[in-house]
Amino acid sequence: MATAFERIASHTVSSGGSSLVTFSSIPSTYTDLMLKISTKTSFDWLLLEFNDSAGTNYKQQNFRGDGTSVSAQNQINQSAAYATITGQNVTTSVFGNAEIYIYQYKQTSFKKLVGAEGISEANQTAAYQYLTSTEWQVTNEAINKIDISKSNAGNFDEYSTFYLYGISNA
Amino acid sequence: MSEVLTKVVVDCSTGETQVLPLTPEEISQREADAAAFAIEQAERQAQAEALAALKASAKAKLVAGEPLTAEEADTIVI
Repeated sequence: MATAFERIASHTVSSGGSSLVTFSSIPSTYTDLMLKISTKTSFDWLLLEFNDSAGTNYKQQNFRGDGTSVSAQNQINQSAAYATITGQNVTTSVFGNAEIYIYQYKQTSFKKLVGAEGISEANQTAAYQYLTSTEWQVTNEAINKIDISKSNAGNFDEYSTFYLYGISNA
Repeated sequence: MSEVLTKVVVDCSTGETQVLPLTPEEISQREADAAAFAIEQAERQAQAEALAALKASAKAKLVAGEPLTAEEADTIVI
Protein backbone atom coordinates (compact mmCIF):
# COMPACT_ATOMS: atom_id res chain seq x y z
CA MET A 1 0.00 0.00 0.00
CA ALA A 2 1.49 3.29 -1.09
CA THR A 3 2.11 5.72 1.74
CA ALA A 4 3.58 8.56 -0.30
CA PHE A 5 3.28 9.75 -3.89
CA GLU A 6 5.79 12.44 -4.76
CA ARG A 7 6.64 14.26 -7.96
CA ILE A 8 10.33 13.78 -8.81
CA ALA A 9 10.53 15.78 -12.04
CA SER A 10 8.50 17.00 -14.98
CA HIS A 11 8.87 18.52 -18.40
CA THR A 12 6.59 20.37 -20.78
CA VAL A 13 7.70 20.36 -24.40
CA SER A 14 8.36 23.84 -25.67
CA SER A 15 7.97 25.47 -29.06
CA GLY A 16 9.61 23.42 -31.81
CA GLY A 17 8.90 20.11 -30.11
CA SER A 18 11.25 17.41 -28.92
CA SER A 19 11.72 13.82 -30.01
CA LEU A 20 13.18 12.38 -26.82
CA VAL A 21 12.72 13.16 -23.14
CA THR A 22 15.17 11.75 -20.62
CA PHE A 23 14.89 11.60 -16.85
CA SER A 24 18.39 11.02 -15.52
CA SER A 25 19.87 10.57 -12.03
CA ILE A 26 16.60 9.14 -10.71
CA PRO A 27 16.92 8.81 -6.93
CA SER A 28 16.75 5.33 -5.43
CA THR A 29 14.69 6.42 -2.45
CA TYR A 30 11.29 5.13 -3.57
CA THR A 31 9.63 1.76 -3.96
CA ASP A 32 8.07 2.22 -7.42
CA LEU A 33 8.00 4.83 -10.16
CA MET A 34 5.10 6.20 -12.16
CA LEU A 35 5.05 8.21 -15.37
CA LYS A 36 2.05 10.28 -16.39
CA ILE A 37 2.38 11.41 -19.95
CA SER A 38 0.20 13.53 -22.18
CA THR A 39 1.36 13.73 -25.77
CA LYS A 40 0.44 14.93 -29.15
CA THR A 41 2.33 13.67 -32.18
CA SER A 42 1.87 11.29 -35.09
CA PHE A 43 0.20 7.96 -34.24
CA ASP A 44 3.09 6.07 -32.66
CA TRP A 45 4.19 3.72 -29.99
CA LEU A 46 5.51 5.44 -26.90
CA LEU A 47 8.90 3.85 -26.21
CA LEU A 48 10.77 3.52 -22.93
CA GLU A 49 14.42 2.64 -22.58
CA PHE A 50 16.07 2.12 -19.19
CA ASN A 51 19.71 2.92 -18.39
CA ASP A 52 20.61 3.17 -22.11
CA SER A 53 19.82 -0.53 -22.38
CA ALA A 54 18.77 -1.33 -25.93
CA GLY A 55 19.81 -4.67 -27.43
CA THR A 56 17.04 -7.22 -27.01
CA ASN A 57 16.30 -6.65 -23.35
CA TYR A 58 12.56 -6.08 -23.43
CA LYS A 59 9.62 -8.40 -23.89
CA GLN A 60 5.96 -7.59 -23.64
CA GLN A 61 2.35 -8.43 -24.20
CA ASN A 62 -0.17 -5.91 -25.36
CA PHE A 63 -3.87 -5.63 -26.00
CA ARG A 64 -5.31 -3.09 -28.38
CA GLY A 65 -8.89 -1.96 -28.67
CA ASP A 66 -10.09 0.37 -31.39
CA GLY A 67 -13.81 0.53 -30.69
CA THR A 68 -14.75 -2.35 -32.98
CA SER A 69 -12.18 -5.06 -32.34
CA VAL A 70 -9.57 -6.21 -29.85
CA SER A 71 -6.23 -7.73 -30.73
CA ALA A 72 -3.30 -9.03 -28.73
CA GLN A 73 0.39 -9.46 -29.39
CA ASN A 74 3.35 -11.04 -27.66
CA GLN A 75 6.69 -9.47 -28.53
CA ILE A 76 10.11 -10.62 -27.40
CA ASN A 77 13.65 -9.38 -27.89
CA GLN A 78 12.60 -5.78 -28.34
CA SER A 79 15.11 -2.94 -28.20
CA ALA A 80 12.79 -0.81 -26.07
CA ALA A 81 9.60 -1.14 -24.07
CA TYR A 82 6.73 -0.38 -26.44
CA ALA A 83 4.88 0.95 -23.45
CA THR A 84 1.72 2.37 -24.91
CA ILE A 85 0.37 4.68 -27.56
CA THR A 86 0.81 8.38 -28.11
CA GLY A 87 -1.80 10.95 -28.90
CA GLN A 88 -2.56 11.81 -32.49
CA ASN A 89 -1.88 15.27 -33.82
CA VAL A 90 -5.06 15.49 -35.83
CA THR A 91 -7.21 17.67 -33.60
CA THR A 92 -6.21 20.96 -32.05
CA SER A 93 -5.70 20.91 -28.28
CA VAL A 94 -6.53 17.20 -27.92
CA PHE A 95 -3.78 15.10 -26.40
CA GLY A 96 -3.41 11.36 -25.85
CA ASN A 97 -2.75 10.18 -22.30
CA ALA A 98 -0.72 7.40 -20.78
CA GLU A 99 0.04 6.12 -17.31
CA ILE A 100 3.04 3.86 -16.81
CA TYR A 101 3.91 2.09 -13.57
CA ILE A 102 7.41 0.73 -12.98
CA TYR A 103 7.53 -1.80 -10.18
CA GLN A 104 10.46 -2.07 -7.75
CA TYR A 105 12.79 -0.14 -10.01
CA LYS A 106 15.76 -0.12 -7.63
CA GLN A 107 15.99 -3.87 -7.14
CA THR A 108 19.16 -5.54 -8.40
CA SER A 109 18.17 -9.17 -8.04
CA PHE A 110 15.30 -9.63 -10.49
CA LYS A 111 13.81 -8.35 -13.73
CA LYS A 112 11.73 -5.19 -13.61
CA LEU A 113 8.07 -5.13 -14.63
CA VAL A 114 6.23 -2.26 -16.26
CA GLY A 115 2.46 -1.90 -16.59
CA ALA A 116 1.04 0.72 -18.94
CA GLU A 117 -2.20 1.94 -20.37
CA GLY A 118 -2.72 4.64 -22.93
CA ILE A 119 -5.34 6.19 -25.13
CA SER A 120 -4.75 7.96 -28.44
CA GLU A 121 -7.50 10.48 -27.99
CA ALA A 122 -8.20 12.62 -31.02
CA ASN A 123 -11.83 13.74 -30.69
CA GLN A 124 -12.70 11.72 -33.76
CA THR A 125 -14.28 8.32 -34.47
CA ALA A 126 -11.04 6.34 -34.54
CA ALA A 127 -9.23 6.05 -31.23
CA TYR A 128 -7.10 3.33 -29.73
CA GLN A 129 -6.52 2.02 -26.26
CA TYR A 130 -3.50 -0.08 -25.36
CA LEU A 131 -2.84 -2.14 -22.25
CA THR A 132 0.72 -3.35 -22.08
CA SER A 133 2.83 -5.40 -19.72
CA THR A 134 6.60 -5.25 -20.22
CA GLU A 135 9.54 -6.98 -18.64
CA TRP A 136 12.99 -5.39 -18.66
CA GLN A 137 15.17 -8.44 -18.56
CA VAL A 138 18.16 -6.91 -16.83
CA THR A 139 18.35 -8.19 -13.27
CA ASN A 140 21.38 -6.53 -11.74
CA GLU A 141 20.72 -2.85 -12.40
CA ALA A 142 18.48 -0.40 -10.61
CA ILE A 143 16.71 1.92 -13.02
CA ASN A 144 18.30 5.36 -12.75
CA LYS A 145 17.60 6.71 -16.23
CA ILE A 146 14.52 6.60 -18.45
CA ASP A 147 14.46 7.67 -22.09
CA ILE A 148 10.99 8.35 -23.48
CA SER A 149 10.66 8.52 -27.23
CA LYS A 150 8.28 7.49 -29.97
CA SER A 151 8.49 4.98 -32.74
CA ASN A 152 8.35 7.26 -35.72
CA ALA A 153 10.03 10.30 -37.12
CA GLY A 154 9.32 13.75 -35.83
CA ASN A 155 8.89 15.39 -32.46
CA PHE A 156 6.43 15.37 -29.63
CA ASP A 157 4.37 18.51 -30.14
CA GLU A 158 4.58 21.61 -28.00
CA TYR A 159 2.72 21.33 -24.66
CA SER A 160 3.17 17.56 -24.43
CA THR A 161 3.87 16.84 -20.76
CA PHE A 162 5.94 14.25 -18.92
CA TYR A 163 5.69 13.74 -15.15
CA LEU A 164 7.79 11.32 -13.12
CA TYR A 165 6.57 10.31 -9.66
CA GLY A 166 8.07 8.25 -6.89
CA ILE A 167 5.84 5.98 -4.81
CA SER A 168 6.87 4.85 -1.35
CA ASN A 169 5.37 1.83 0.33
CA ALA A 170 6.92 2.48 3.69
CA MET B 1 12.98 23.13 -44.03
CA SER B 2 13.25 19.84 -42.19
CA GLU B 3 12.27 19.43 -38.56
CA VAL B 4 15.15 19.72 -36.11
CA LEU B 5 15.24 16.65 -33.85
CA THR B 6 16.12 17.45 -30.28
CA LYS B 7 16.15 15.68 -26.96
CA VAL B 8 15.45 16.99 -23.50
CA VAL B 9 17.44 15.73 -20.54
CA VAL B 10 15.98 16.37 -17.07
CA ASP B 11 18.46 15.72 -14.26
CA CYS B 12 16.31 14.56 -11.35
CA SER B 13 19.03 15.26 -8.80
CA THR B 14 19.42 18.92 -9.72
CA GLY B 15 16.25 19.78 -11.60
CA GLU B 16 18.38 21.09 -14.46
CA THR B 17 16.95 20.67 -17.96
CA GLN B 18 19.03 20.62 -21.14
CA VAL B 19 17.82 20.69 -24.75
CA LEU B 20 20.32 18.98 -27.08
CA PRO B 21 20.37 17.91 -30.76
CA LEU B 22 20.05 14.15 -31.39
CA THR B 23 23.27 12.28 -32.15
CA PRO B 24 23.61 10.32 -35.43
CA GLU B 25 23.32 7.09 -33.37
CA GLU B 26 20.08 8.27 -31.82
CA ILE B 27 18.71 9.22 -35.22
CA SER B 28 19.62 5.74 -36.53
CA GLN B 29 17.87 4.11 -33.57
CA ARG B 30 14.76 6.13 -34.26
CA GLU B 31 14.78 5.01 -37.89
CA ALA B 32 15.08 1.37 -36.77
CA ASP B 33 12.20 1.87 -34.32
CA ALA B 34 10.07 3.39 -37.07
CA ALA B 35 10.69 0.39 -39.33
CA ALA B 36 9.80 -2.03 -36.53
CA PHE B 37 6.63 -0.10 -35.79
CA ALA B 38 5.56 -0.26 -39.43
CA ILE B 39 6.11 -4.03 -39.49
CA GLU B 40 4.17 -4.49 -36.25
CA GLN B 41 1.24 -2.50 -37.58
CA ALA B 42 1.20 -4.45 -40.85
CA GLU B 43 1.31 -7.80 -39.00
CA ARG B 44 -1.51 -6.77 -36.69
CA GLN B 45 -3.61 -5.60 -39.63
CA ALA B 46 -2.99 -8.84 -41.53
CA GLN B 47 -3.96 -10.94 -38.49
CA ALA B 48 -7.17 -8.96 -38.02
CA GLU B 49 -8.11 -9.30 -41.68
CA ALA B 50 -7.40 -13.04 -41.71
CA LEU B 51 -9.55 -13.57 -38.61
CA ALA B 52 -12.39 -11.54 -40.10
CA ALA B 53 -12.25 -13.61 -43.28
CA LEU B 54 -12.34 -16.88 -41.34
CA LYS B 55 -15.33 -15.69 -39.30
CA ALA B 56 -17.19 -14.63 -42.42
CA SER B 57 -16.51 -17.97 -44.06
CA ALA B 58 -17.62 -19.88 -40.94
CA LYS B 59 -20.84 -17.88 -40.76
CA ALA B 60 -21.63 -18.44 -44.43
CA LYS B 61 -21.06 -22.19 -44.11
CA LEU B 62 -23.21 -22.41 -40.98
CA VAL B 63 -26.07 -20.66 -42.75
CA ALA B 64 -25.69 -22.93 -45.76
CA GLY B 65 -25.39 -26.09 -43.63
CA GLU B 66 -21.91 -26.88 -44.89
CA PRO B 67 -19.08 -28.38 -42.80
CA LEU B 68 -16.54 -25.98 -41.30
CA THR B 69 -12.79 -26.39 -41.33
CA ALA B 70 -11.06 -26.70 -37.96
CA GLU B 71 -9.72 -23.16 -38.34
CA GLU B 72 -13.20 -21.80 -39.01
CA ALA B 73 -14.63 -23.71 -36.05
CA ASP B 74 -11.95 -22.22 -33.80
CA THR B 75 -13.33 -18.75 -34.50
CA ILE B 76 -16.73 -19.57 -33.01
CA VAL B 77 -16.00 -22.24 -30.38
CA ILE B 78 -14.31 -21.22 -27.12
